[in-house]
Amino acid sequence: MTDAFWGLSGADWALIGGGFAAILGGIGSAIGITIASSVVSGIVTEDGEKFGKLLPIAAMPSTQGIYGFITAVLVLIFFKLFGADVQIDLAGAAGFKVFLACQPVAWLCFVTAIYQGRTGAAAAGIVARRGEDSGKALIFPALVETYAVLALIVTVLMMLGLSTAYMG
Amino acid sequence: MAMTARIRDDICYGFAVGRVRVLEGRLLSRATFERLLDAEDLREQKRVLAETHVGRYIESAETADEVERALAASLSDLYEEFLERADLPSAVVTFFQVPHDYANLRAALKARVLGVRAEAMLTSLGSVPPEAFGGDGGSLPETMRELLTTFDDAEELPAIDDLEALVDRAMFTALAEAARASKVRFLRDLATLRINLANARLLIRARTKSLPPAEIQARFVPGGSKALEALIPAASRMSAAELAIAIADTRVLGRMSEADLTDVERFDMTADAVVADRMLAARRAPGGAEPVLAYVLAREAEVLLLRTAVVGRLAGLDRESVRTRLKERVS
Repeated sequence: MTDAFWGLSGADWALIGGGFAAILGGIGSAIGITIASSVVSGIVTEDGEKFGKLLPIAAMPSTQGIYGFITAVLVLIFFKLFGADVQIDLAGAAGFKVFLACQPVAWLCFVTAIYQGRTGAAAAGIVARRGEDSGKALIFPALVETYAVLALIVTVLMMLGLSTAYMG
Repeated sequence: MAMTARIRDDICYGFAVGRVRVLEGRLLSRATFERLLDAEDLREQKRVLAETHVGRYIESAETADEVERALAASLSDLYEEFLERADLPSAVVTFFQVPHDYANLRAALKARVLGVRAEAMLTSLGSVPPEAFGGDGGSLPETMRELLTTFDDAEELPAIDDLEALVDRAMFTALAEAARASKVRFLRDLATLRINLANARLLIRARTKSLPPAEIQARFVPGGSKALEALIPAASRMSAAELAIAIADTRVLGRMSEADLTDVERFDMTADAVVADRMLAARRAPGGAEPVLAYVLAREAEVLLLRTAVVGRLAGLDRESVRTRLKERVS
């Protein structure tokens, strides 16, 4: 058993970090999709032909949940916590750094998914009024996505660095 | 906490907001009202309205009474299909029903005082069934029952003004209560604005009639601006211009100018526009309760405009008079 950091082993910290990213990303996506979908459902109730144009807007906040999931899987793969060659001897301090590396995705995805849902709900109003502007309406929630993607990139780069340093 | 409340509102009102985004595109346009005014008779007006959401209600109406009933039916469907089935909080639904309940109470009270029948004047748009206003109002809520029987033992007929003031005060109090219970900031602000407008109107009328401060205080609606209430002791002693300046200085009545505050008729017209300003701002909100509530208020205002345009013409008003009244209402 390797040294613990604040009472937890490195593997514990890494698993908490990956789990944290998956959970917060998932919660954010669920809330964001609910916000956008409730407005989209109202529009489709009155004008069923707009369903196809509105579906991408309602589905857009789901990506943050996927980024959280990707982060959790990367933690398992990079730090050998998954598969046949599982290693649970990661140093406590190293595991804590993995936990910290997961935070950008966890928090950014949680917050941006909710705001993307709200932006999508507002953008759905554009489609309700002018169906031909559905392309323009997609741009606004897509802008919010940028910051979730940047957070994912930061997290992946941090984990690559940690993986090189501690896993060889 | 603020973010949690916003998320809760976005989810709670989301479905209704979506419906509103489509339905507000079907509200009658200025061009439709122009065509209504240009129409020769009711038949042509019905042809203009046939293409709109009001068409199915008004198609068989032939008289002013039938048009009134058709417009009431369209409002009733709005409340039933939209407000009640949109799963909105009950206090929000109550906010829209309160004015109709008190309009019924007003009609029933006047009929009771004058000794005539009220049935024909009652609507079913409120939360209390019209039948409840008959007899001694035994099935009415406590406050309404007390009001209905207030003048039963009076030795002489009360002045209509006193009666109106009594009902107004109770209505605005109930409206403020519903707004508070709804926890919707827009409704609370709207209720406060309406109370302030009612109180400002009361001050202007009180000055004209030289009412003593105690009487003004008794009619003053609680829950409004303290700055307006502070004008009560001096209101009757001021000139019209002084009072108008004093009210305008409180800055609680939106774009109401001193000139609008010197004359009750002009005040009433501008008051409608001040409320309409607030609704327009709410319709522009991206989500939450505001767009939904503003849509319902816009539909109510639309019925008012239709009544002016269709019933006004049926009552023999010439085209230009109706056009002027419409312009005053939407200015």
